[in-house]
Amino acid sequence: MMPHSTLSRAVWAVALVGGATALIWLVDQSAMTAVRRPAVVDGWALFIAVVLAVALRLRKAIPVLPILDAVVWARVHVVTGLVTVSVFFLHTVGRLPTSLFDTLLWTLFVVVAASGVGGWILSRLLPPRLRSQQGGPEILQRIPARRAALAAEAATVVNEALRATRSQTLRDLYVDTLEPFLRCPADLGAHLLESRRPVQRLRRLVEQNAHYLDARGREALDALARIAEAKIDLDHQTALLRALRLWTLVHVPLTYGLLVLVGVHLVAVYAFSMGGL
Amino acid sequence: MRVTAGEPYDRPDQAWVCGRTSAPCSRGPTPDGVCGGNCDGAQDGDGAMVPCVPRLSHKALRRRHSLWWVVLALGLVALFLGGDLAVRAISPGPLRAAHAGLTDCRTCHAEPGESGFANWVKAALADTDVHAANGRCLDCHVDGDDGQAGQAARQAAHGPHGRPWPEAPTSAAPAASLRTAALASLADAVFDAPMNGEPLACAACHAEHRGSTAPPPEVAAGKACRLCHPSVGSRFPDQHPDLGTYPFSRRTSLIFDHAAHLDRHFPERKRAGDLVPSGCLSCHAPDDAGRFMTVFSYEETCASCHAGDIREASRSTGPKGVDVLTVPGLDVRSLQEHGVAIGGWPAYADAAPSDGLALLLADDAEASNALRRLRSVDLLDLRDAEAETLDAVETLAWAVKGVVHRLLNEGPQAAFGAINGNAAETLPPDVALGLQQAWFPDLSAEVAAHMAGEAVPTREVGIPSETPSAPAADPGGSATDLDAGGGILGHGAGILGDGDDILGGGGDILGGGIGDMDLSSIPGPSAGDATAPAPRAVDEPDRWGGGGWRRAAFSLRYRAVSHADPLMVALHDAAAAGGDAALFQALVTQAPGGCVDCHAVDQEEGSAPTVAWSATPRGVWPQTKFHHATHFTAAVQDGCATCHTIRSGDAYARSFAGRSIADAATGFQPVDEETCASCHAREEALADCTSCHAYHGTPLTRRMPR
Repeated sequence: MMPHSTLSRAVWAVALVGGATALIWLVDQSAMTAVRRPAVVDGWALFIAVVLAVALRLRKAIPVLPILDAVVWARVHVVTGLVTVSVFFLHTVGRLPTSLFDTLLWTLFVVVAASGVGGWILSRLLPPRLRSQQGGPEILQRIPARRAALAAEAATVVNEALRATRSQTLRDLYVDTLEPFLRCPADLGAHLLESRRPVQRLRRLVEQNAHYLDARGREALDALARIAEAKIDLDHQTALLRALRLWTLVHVPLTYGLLVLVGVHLVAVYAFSMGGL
Repeated sequence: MRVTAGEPYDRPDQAWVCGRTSAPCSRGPTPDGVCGGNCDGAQDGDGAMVPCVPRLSHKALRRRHSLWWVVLALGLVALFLGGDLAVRAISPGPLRAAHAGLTDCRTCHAEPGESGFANWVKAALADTDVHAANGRCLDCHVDGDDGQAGQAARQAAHGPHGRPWPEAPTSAAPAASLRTAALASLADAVFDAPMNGEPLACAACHAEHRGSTAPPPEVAAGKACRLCHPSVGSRFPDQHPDLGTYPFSRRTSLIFDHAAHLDRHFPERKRAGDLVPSGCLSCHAPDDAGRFMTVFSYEETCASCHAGDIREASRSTGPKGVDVLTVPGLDVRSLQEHGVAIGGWPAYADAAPSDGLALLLADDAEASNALRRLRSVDLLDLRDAEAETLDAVETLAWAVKGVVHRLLNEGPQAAFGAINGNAAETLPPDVALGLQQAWFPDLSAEVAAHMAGEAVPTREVGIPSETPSAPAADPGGSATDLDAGGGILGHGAGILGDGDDILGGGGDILGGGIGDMDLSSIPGPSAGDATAPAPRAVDEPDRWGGGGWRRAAFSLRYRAVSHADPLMVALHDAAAAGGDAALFQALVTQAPGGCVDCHAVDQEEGSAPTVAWSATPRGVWPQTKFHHATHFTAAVQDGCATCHTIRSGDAYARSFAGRSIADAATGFQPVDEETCASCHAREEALADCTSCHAYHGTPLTRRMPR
């Protein structure tokens, strides 16, 4: 069930987006009674909404600015972003672009909007899953070091066990399977999909090898299983944290490209209007 | 969040981070992306060295991507917009087929030109010159007038219906619903008044680059119309405003009472055996375009019954013709006693200054003032006249002589300039000579002396005992031979030989004292016969039945030669333009032929009256385009009467009692919407406003682009 505060925010967001869109639509309609082109009204509204959405980046780039909290800006960004989507439909009247330039502009906007909406959905879905991790979420930049520590710990466990048992099974398990697994992130796609396959594979591996180990070897195997489970946990977080960041590599850069084309669009529209605006 | 103190490497804000996935070194790369060296854990499980691979942090990677996209976008802009690809890159679509030949963008988009982004920016930032933009459309779309006047008219046609913008266009349009009223209020609050009086750009309604076969969507769908007419819907007649007085916005130019003619006059004439119109098409026909119904010419219609009115044949009382020039009667002897010097003056002239004389002197301010002053003075009794009155008499007398002098020396155009001298060119020279000889035999010498500042003694002319001075210097002197041979009495047989005109024709002698007389055809007083008595009044309707110029005793009269007589038109127009309402009224009342009996006199408040000479429609309902000829093919049972129902009563006739065209009582009932709807009931075709309405008053034709 959705928490009350989240529900309230969602209602507010829908109300704001719907209200802003309705207002612009009304002004569009009234523009026709004042011999104005609606496309000029909603075009400028779209431009202002895009600039307002981009202002979030400025707020983040200049953290010393005492203009509201970044969280508030993020919410404003989401709302204005959704407003741009609805106003975009008003502006294009649902028509597909016809010129090469307009096609480029249209495509760029759609990709930016889609990546933004996708990123917003990810930002609503993934953090709760991160928070559900045992011990809470990790910082992405620290995960390699954490993974290296686990690998080192596994090496220690294996070395000590091998000194005691000289188990070829344990050695092969570590060298062929566990060491490469602990060295790099693995199964990121499966983790993003919340698949249980990595954990099940680990357990199956432990079960298959336990039959060939003595008590000391099984003790070491249990220790290695715990380390591997911790590594799987790190992989899970890596997958989610990377997903939370990767969409911005599409959304943010394309936004700047979009701004350039929007500027050209404005110039072209006014330069070639022949007074028709 | 798990944060452990002393973690080996955690610097996410740096542009570069260690790229090892297995064992990142604790020092990490330098800010420039170079490996820091001496890394711990730099060996893999086999003891092999793991290569050091600094990689960009997420933040730096995002920044770099952003830069690349901006560069890419700018590159595309430079690539497309800097070259010939610009046109294809930004053109929203093909031009309509009619414009397919326009391959040079500058034909329409002169400011930005084909290329050069700097030009685009410059054009975008500059205020759009709507006149210039429209002018480029109007270079090809002409209305038949290529001159400056045509250009100006076409530019003016691009305001709302060619008119100035109303101050509050949104409130001017009645709102049909709460929604439209609310939108109009919102528009008033949000937007300024449209265009600030500037003309509307052609491109505001005529969108281009929408495909070769696409109709102009705003126009076709009525969207452009509803900008200013939000209350008009797309369904006819449900969502169409009431037609009001359509098709009559003003009274007619010709005063023709259809009801009276159809109900009374035509039946009477028919009973008398005359030919009368058999139907509407006896007098009306569509014009060449088939749009308007025209009226046949006067000769083809009215003349059969009213020709006599023009020629005054049917006029039984009062003088015929109009006094163009009158020698007013003056108390010459009193003038002599008062020492007023006006030279010779006809002793027997006894008429008051005529309206025609007032028209002739309209351009002479001093004479006009004198004439106005003398309106209330008995000019035949100046014994007790004040000095100012005598001065005015002297001014008037010399002004009259001046007119006659110019007539003889410079011709009618100079003498009658105030009433359009061209129309007066028909005045025969012998008539002019005759009146000069009869009225002012020593005119040239007297005018010369007067101009030289000499006092020309006043004397009576036409007294038998008087010995006139010879008009040696008179330029028309030699021509007096034309009239040699004696006066009227000497040719009395000629007058009397014309039958009973003296007693019976026109009644001028009995009723008007001195009447009309054709002196151009009978000898007048010669230079040596100036002592002959003044010609007696004779009216000769038979001999003057063709109309034209005639010299009566002491006036020059004119009778209409035919319908639309140029001089009669000029007289009316001059009187109207003169601004003297009393003079105009007097003239139109006494004018022969009764021009204003049929031609309406229109007068807007504060402006001079005009006589509506033309029967053709004058800019009425310019925004409608009803096509009469097309509707003739429709199966209408009652013909013209299907739409045009004659209105009985005298409202039509009474509407011409005044001069305001706003008194638009017409002889027909307005067309009812339901009449249109009876054939066009809820047709989708009529949802298009342009089916019946034309935004531009004058349809613009097209010509091949230059």
